[in-house]
Amino acid sequence: MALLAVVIGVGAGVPLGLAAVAWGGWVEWLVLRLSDFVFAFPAVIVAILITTLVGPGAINAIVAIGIFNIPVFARVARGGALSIATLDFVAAARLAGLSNARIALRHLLPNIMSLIIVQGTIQMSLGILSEAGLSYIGLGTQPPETSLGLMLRDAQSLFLIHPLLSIIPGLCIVAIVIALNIAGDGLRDAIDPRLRQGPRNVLA
Amino acid sequence: MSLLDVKDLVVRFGDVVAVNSIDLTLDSGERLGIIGESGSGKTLTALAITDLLPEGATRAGRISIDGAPTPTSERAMARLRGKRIGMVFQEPMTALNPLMRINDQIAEAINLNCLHASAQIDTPQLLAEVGLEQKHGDRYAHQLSGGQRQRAMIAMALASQPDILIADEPTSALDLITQRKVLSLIVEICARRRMALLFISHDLKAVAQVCSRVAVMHKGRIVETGSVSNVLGAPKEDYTRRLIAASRFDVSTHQQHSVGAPLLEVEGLTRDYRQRNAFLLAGKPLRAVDNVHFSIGTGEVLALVGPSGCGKTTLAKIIVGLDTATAGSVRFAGQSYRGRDLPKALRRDISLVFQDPFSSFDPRLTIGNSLAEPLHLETGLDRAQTPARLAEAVSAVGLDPAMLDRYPHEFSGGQRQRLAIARALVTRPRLLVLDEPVSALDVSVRGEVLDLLARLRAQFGLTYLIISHDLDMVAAMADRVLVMQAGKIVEEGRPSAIFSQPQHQLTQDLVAARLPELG
Repeated sequence: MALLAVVIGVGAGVPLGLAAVAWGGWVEWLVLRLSDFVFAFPAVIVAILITTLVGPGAINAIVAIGIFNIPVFARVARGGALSIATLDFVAAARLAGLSNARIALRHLLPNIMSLIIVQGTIQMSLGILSEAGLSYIGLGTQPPETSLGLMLRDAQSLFLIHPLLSIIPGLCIVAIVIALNIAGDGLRDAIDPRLRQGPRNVLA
Repeated sequence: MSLLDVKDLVVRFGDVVAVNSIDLTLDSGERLGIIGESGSGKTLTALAITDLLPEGATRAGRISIDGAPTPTSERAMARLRGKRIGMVFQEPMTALNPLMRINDQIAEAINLNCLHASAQIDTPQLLAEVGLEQKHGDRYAHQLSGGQRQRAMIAMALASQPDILIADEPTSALDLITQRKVLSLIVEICARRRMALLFISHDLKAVAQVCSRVAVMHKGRIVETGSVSNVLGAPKEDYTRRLIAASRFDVSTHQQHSVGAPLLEVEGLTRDYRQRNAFLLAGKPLRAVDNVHFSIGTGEVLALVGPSGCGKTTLAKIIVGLDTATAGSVRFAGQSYRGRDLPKALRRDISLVFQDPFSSFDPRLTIGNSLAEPLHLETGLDRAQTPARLAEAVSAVGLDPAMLDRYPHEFSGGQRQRLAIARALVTRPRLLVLDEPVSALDVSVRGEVLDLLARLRAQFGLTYLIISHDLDMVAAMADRVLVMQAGKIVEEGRPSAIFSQPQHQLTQDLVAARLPELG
């Protein structure tokens, strides 16, 4: 579920951030102002607003969280790509006559993947927490479907009689968040050719 | 008893032995140079002495100062580093705190280290000692030039009045004139304070200038040690002999070439950078290149010489089409352009070789993919021909085409620069613009790369525009030299004429700053 929110964020945010760097000028200005605009609203309040407007439900909650992920990823992608774009191999690619879009896809994107993966796992954890929060106040997943947040809410009134009913979903949320972060670190190392092949050159 | 005594020092990273049982002694007031290529373990030796080794490194052996072994606890070692050993690092920009004024940083070094020192010392005194004015002390690191930053670093290292100064490549990030001044300053201060110096460098001439004794390191071992005149004048070891040979640029095939019709003409080229003041109004523009005229004949090697910040790199960027001139134009093969509007059909005829072989390849792409990139410029090229063209370029620079499937981090600096030259050759260009082609490389491989350039030129009839601040390299390679200062060309002529009878003040300074030849 939270994965979908991250996919929305990455899918729209990363291209925007890369475009901002590759084209610069007014494209960059527009992307930055748009993300400032979204950042200016408190995320949870707007998520509540969206779900009250279009009706509560799992998908609506996810979309609301996803929209707030877009500027986060746009910023991360732009920040990483800016520092890559000053390196000589990007100048070499420009000399080779590659278009802005090709430079962004071929050189910038692979070199900021690790940043995006790390941010992705963080946003995924935050997404799970927000979804649980929205479900807890009754704006997320609706019965008869269920989610960890919903379980927590149902268990709340029984806490003193059956504490395990709320402790277990709570621990599940913690376990998922930790697992995601570890998986993200592993994924980041796995796609880096410098870490993949041969012994690491410690003197470099 | 020596001031510093290193016995049987070993530094390991896991199973890799980086420094292999070396012995060093340093007497008080002595100046010892450690020479070696990158990766020879010379920096690790210095870090081991100060116990500042990077994570994952383990140290064995005995290090004693004044006969007493260095303490094992980090607190005691920190106090010792502060009081007895001063360090100057290679990169003066990253070694200073960007958020503190120079005065405050020096004062901090004094306060931390001189609580018990009998002779008190203050900041203005230190600034004066390293040749900085009092006003420089009120500035931040980014407001100082590279040479001034390095002076500030030396002042901080002197704050504790150490007995040993360790200088790790203190001048390799500086241009020629500044380099010479900083070297003289270090020698002068060491002599005045009777301070011992451990000078780490790959530059044999700098070591010969500064030190009295020298140790040559190769693959973690000290292969030869002795007085500078003995080791550099009459080397016993084969490796030392090779290093010395490499530090002299005699490009074997060099002779004056017949120069054909002008290939590239630069006419009144000017580049302004807009500067904005606090009110976002257009301020006075910064003129990086100022009304420059010159031409390069077919088959000629033209060198553009000047201090850092004189606009030579900006000029190169305009010629290859990475930047656009504010005024004036460039004519190449009969076509006029101003920079980025360089027609696509001409782009394949002009190639650029970058200064830094470490950032000029995308770490995520194989060498083959990087090298194939400029072939986009050849629209008529069949895809099936690509491997043949890559193999041709890689063989031309003396490397094995099987290397094309590997990633950049698997190659050494010299190999990467060869590959960068191969990438520049892949479109079979007519003009090669070389931006400091060897200054990021070890002295020992510079000669090889220059020989390669000379050979390629003879083989393919190339024309070179070499941008450099290294006069020795220019003298060995160029047919004609342009000297540039503050965006203007101030002198022009044959290298032999310019270096024997420099006319302009800047040229005279540059020539005077050359370090003397060895032996």
